[in-house]
Amino acid sequence: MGEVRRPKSRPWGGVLKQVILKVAQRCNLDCTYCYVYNRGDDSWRRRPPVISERVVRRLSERIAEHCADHGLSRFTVELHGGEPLLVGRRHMRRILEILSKTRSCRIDFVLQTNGLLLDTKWIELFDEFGVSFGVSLDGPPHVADRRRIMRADGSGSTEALLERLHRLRDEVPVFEKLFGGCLCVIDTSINGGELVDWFVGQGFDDFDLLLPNGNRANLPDGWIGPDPYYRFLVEAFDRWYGLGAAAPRIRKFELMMSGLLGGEVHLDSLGGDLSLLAVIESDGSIGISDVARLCGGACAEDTLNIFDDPLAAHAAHYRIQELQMLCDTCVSCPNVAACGGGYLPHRYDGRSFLNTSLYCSALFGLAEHMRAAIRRDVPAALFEKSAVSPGMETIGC
Amino acid sequence: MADELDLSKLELEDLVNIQNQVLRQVAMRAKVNIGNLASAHDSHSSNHSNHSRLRDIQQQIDQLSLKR
Repeated sequence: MGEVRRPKSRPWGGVLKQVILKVAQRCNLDCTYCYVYNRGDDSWRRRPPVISERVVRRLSERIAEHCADHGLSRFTVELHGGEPLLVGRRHMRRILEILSKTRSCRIDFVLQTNGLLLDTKWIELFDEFGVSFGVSLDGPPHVADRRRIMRADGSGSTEALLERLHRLRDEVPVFEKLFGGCLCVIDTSINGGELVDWFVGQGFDDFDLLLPNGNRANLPDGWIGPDPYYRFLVEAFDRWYGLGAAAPRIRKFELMMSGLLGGEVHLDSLGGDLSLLAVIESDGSIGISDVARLCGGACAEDTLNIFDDPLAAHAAHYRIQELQMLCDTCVSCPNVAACGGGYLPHRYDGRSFLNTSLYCSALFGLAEHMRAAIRRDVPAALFEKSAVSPGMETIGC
Repeated sequence: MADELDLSKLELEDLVNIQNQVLRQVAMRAKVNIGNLASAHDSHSSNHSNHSRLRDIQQQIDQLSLKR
């Protein structure tokens, strides 16, 4: 037992509430930055390409047992890959049928897809089981197609995706209810404000801007330092913040500001508690985090599986609280409430995670920019009414 | 002046006094979400769903804004 320091806005030590279920280990895209295929981890090659009903049934039993043990009435299953739609509709239906019959708790389904196989029948299946989905989209074709390329022939994928999404939005009434928005990996060759305008112009009112995955031991492609990311993020923030009623929801900005305002932040890439999540691979193994696999070593070697181990074993077995511990620089940082120390895999230096994020200066600069907006735009009376307590606290682990 | 708020000490109605519309929405969503279960939308960065609990939060805020 020891002590860890964490931002008050990041409640740690929580009970597992969600699994990221790798139903497919292959993808029809070969994105150059992909953390599954192109950042050095090849564990996907050794796993079944598609999850079996046997693994799904065992997972259902484990979820029921976990929820009964911890008094949970709901549990989230995130259908993920690879590209999850590659399993085909018939097999996906079986997966959803088995999991939706999990004893004594309600399963909330979410799914992340590259969208290239989406059609009316998929949307109808999602509607039947209440599956909310997000789509990966990196911006306009001339930007996105440099990195989001088809595995078969290296051609761009974005024109076809946009055409498909716009058609489905027009033709399928339940599309908007189920569609959660887009994930966009940042390409600093475009102006951040222009990218926000592009998403708004395409009718997307909810998206996130993701920093390319990498760390000091495994640098993102084309890395020349964090400055271009700072420039991009501030451009995007300024455009977003000035849009008023027309502003889309941008998750990174919302959650960083929520942290600065005293709200709770759970997002893993902003220092959220990794105890809440576990990865279940297609062979039934239980992992820490899919993105952390790019760090190699113990992060890429699963030593638990659902046939032998309960889901709750994950946090203690992988010593998640210890891994999440912040370095001294983050502990004393005035902006830790915004970024939470950043994403765990981005803090790795080849030996440990007890470092600032590779993107620290970009996140710090953005947080300073946000604080200036908050100081300017929150009435003084609210600061006076709300007595501020220190932003850090110590908990046992 | 301090630039940190403790939302647990403020009422949702206090936050309607924030003039910037983007910041007001962010503050209100953060206030409503305190103590709630983390949803799939805001816990795994490689996912962007539109979970029903998120829609519930927004509904509460919209109702308050309409009453205003």
